[in-house]
Amino acid sequence: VSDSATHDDFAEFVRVNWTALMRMGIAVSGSRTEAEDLVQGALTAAYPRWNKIRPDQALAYVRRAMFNLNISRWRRHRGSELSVAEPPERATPAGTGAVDDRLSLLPLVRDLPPKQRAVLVLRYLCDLSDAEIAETLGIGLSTVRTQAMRALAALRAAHPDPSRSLALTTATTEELR
Amino acid sequence: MNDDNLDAELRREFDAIFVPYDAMRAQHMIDRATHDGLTGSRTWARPLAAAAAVLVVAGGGAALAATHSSPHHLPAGGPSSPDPTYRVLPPNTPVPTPSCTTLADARILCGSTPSEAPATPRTPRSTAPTPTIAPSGPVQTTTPSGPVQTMTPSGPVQTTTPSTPTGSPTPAGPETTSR
Repeated sequence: VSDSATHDDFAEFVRVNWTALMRMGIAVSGSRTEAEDLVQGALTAAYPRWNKIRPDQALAYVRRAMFNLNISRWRRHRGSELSVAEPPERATPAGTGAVDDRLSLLPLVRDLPPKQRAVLVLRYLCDLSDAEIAETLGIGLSTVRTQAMRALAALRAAHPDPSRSLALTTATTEELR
Repeated sequence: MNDDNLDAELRREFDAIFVPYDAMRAQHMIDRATHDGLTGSRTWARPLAAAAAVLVVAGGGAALAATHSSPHHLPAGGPSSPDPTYRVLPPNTPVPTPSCTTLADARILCGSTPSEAPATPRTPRSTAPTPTIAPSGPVQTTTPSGPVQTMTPSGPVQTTTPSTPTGSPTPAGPETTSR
């Protein structure tokens, strides 16, 4: 494969998957700026090995590179302040608690450890099975299930029942009418 | 919250992340990835190279110092030194030193072969003493009628012929005295 063909193939892959990679980066990191850094770092790491990466494994390779980068960044900046482009979403308690509770789930996800975050993103955003998540992250199947269980438990403890929130929202709307 | 509700909520929130396609941004990422990937400008490469260079220089200096250090000097630690190149003798042990007390010993030690020259005929007046060899330096013995023999423990036996007295039956050629 010539360099030109490799470059064209790589560029086509980026154009096709750019939106999905950016969405995953935002879900994992919590900001667009950090998502761009993650995608850029993963693509930079993948390009020199692009000839050796099978086409059907390219997306998994880049995803894995993104999650590894995110874990490295989290370790490096753990305990220090992170600069983000926009302030994180926080619930406002003024009269719209049910709706705000429903909106506050993503910030709770971003407060999870990076590996738990990665498992949730791959499962609920990318719709991967546990086996595919294990292969993507390079961890065992039992580890995937353990991380998912802990992440869901943490979210369940920090988040009220959305069914109750939905019922409250409906009742409030009917009362306003 | 049960698992089904939480799963549905998570899917809904992740699906709500909307990122419009930005062609310029994507192309910029492609260009940067290809440039950085080809030039290999990684953040860890330069510190690693610097550390390797320091190790090479330090290792070379240590090897050079070890090569130039004399193995006969005992270290400051004395006999307890674990260095196998230093042979530590017990106290009051006589140190064997090469000694040359005879000419044969000197020849053996110095690697010289016995001379094939004939023996010097001795004159009745000859009182030439037996050549001796001192380990510390050459000894020059002069006979009135014979050659001067100078023997050193570290070199071959040299014989020079001085001016002989008139009427002496000493041959003209160089001679050595063998015992």
